[in-house]
Amino acid sequence: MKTMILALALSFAALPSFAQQIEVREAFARATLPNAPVAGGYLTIANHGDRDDRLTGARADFAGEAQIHEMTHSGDVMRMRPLPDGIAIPAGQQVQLSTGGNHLMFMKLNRGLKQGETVVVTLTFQTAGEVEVPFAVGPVNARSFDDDGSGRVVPEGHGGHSH
Amino acid sequence: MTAASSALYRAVWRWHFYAGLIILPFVILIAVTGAIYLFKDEINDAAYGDLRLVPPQQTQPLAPSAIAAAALGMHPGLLRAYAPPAAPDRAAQVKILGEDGLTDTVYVDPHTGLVIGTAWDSGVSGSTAMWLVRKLHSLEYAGWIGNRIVEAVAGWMVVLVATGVYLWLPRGRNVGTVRIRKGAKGRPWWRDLHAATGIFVAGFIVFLAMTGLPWSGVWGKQFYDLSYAAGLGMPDGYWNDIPVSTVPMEEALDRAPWIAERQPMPLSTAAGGVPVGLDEVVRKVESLGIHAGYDLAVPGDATGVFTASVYPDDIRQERVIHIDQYSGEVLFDMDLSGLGTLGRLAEWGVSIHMGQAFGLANQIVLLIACAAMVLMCISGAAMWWKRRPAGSLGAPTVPADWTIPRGILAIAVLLGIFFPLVGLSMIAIAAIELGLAATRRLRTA
Repeated sequence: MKTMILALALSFAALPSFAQQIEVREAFARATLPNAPVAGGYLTIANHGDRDDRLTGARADFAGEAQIHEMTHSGDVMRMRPLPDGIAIPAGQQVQLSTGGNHLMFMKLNRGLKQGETVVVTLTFQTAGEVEVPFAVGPVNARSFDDDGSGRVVPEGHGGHSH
Repeated sequence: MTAASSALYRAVWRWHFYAGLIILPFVILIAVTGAIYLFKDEINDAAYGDLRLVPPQQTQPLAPSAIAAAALGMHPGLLRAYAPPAAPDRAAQVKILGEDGLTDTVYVDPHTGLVIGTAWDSGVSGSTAMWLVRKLHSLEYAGWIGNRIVEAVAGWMVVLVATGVYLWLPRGRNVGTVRIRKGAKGRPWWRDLHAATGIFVAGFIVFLAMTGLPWSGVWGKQFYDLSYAAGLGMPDGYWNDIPVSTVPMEEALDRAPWIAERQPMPLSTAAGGVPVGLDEVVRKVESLGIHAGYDLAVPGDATGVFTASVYPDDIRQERVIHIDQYSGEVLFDMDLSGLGTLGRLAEWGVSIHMGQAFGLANQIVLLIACAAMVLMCISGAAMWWKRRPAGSLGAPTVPADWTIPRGILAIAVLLGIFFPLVGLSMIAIAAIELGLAATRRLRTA
């Protein structure tokens, strides 16, 4: 099943000519483990309009704070950093926020996210303004919107003393 | 010099020459990688500070279970170990076996719960780069055979020091002993540099070789086995024979059928991947006074235990604690003072060898020793290069009729037994020598 949210957002009633067509699809979060203070949010944003836009922030009632984070890889090292200026959503293009790339970080969680529920997140765009998006909560190891997490097991490891 | 002592001098020189020439490239490798690894913490903090360091805060950090949950949320997998922040400005490290089969270290800001990043878990080395340096130092990078070569090289370094000191004895000659002769040029200059550097660094070379050997495959294993057998090594439970957690239901089933329905309540029953007792276990080991910077391994199976271990710079704070995953009971708790004499000596040796025991002074002194070893290699090679006749190896010769004095033979045999890989390589070199001598005799006959 694919959730399609066509958010035809009019930025301001006073400026109807700058209407942006922002579409958000396949928005999901991972279920959180007990006591988890943070959770990631993942989605695809398409800009159908003819003006560049920018995702500048997010908020949700289950989180005290939300940030936009980038993920960079170099060698075997992965780093995650806040993007205070958000993410550009160029006109006519779509941008993916994924488990292996840039993503939303929900912080100071005031409750856990349970698999199967849907939570509402308000995204803020520079031009399109605020867009309310339902996020489907998937399994703790979900990699994509329709990933049920099955079929992937953690291989048996082995320990050992190393001084 | 009498004929006999002159022949002995030439024989020692010959062994010093061959051994030195053969192990020279390995000594340079060991000295350079060792010098780097002395500063691994400083290098890791400089190169990966953005992962390892966080802005210090006055507030209480998040609970270990929250930090582990945050890490597993961003990097799904199996929790293997949790290392609390070693200082207020350090990240917590959560080791997770991922779905890709690799164990990664996930760095978490203990105040916000944000994952700062992940890196392949390189164990005690702290980074892939330092892991590589360590594997080159032991030559384990080239498999077990590489490690055996390094073990033989360590033994030969002791032989080189012994033969070198013998050759260094001035015997009334006009040679440099503790400094280079005035006006020396060319080969005499290199010879004096080699001799004078050598006499100062000899003790350090022997110390580093001997304290490095406990890591080795043959000597090290024998050392630990023999000291264990003599009751002077590592007690059971420290590294080996780790105690197991007993599942309470098994006992209950035997003795009291009516209580069989009582389920065991393992502290480690994963509540979505994080042992529910993680916070309790952390509280417990910290109440026992474990040194900061410890690592807590979580049980891997039904009989596994929580193991908190720490090998800090202050070696006396070294500690291993095992905790039953069901009862939370402390099954084993030992620090350095609980080890046998030889085990304790080995741990002190290892700590100094790694530049930890005496802080920065320890690191600097050993860095100088490493530099001196490289200088020994360069000056030794230069001496040989300058005196080598064109088109031949220029090894020192011994008179054909010279026989090995019994005393020297006894020392060689003892050395060969004490350093089995030195013994093996001595036999190999002797076989080559005898073979060459035999063919020479055949040709001249």
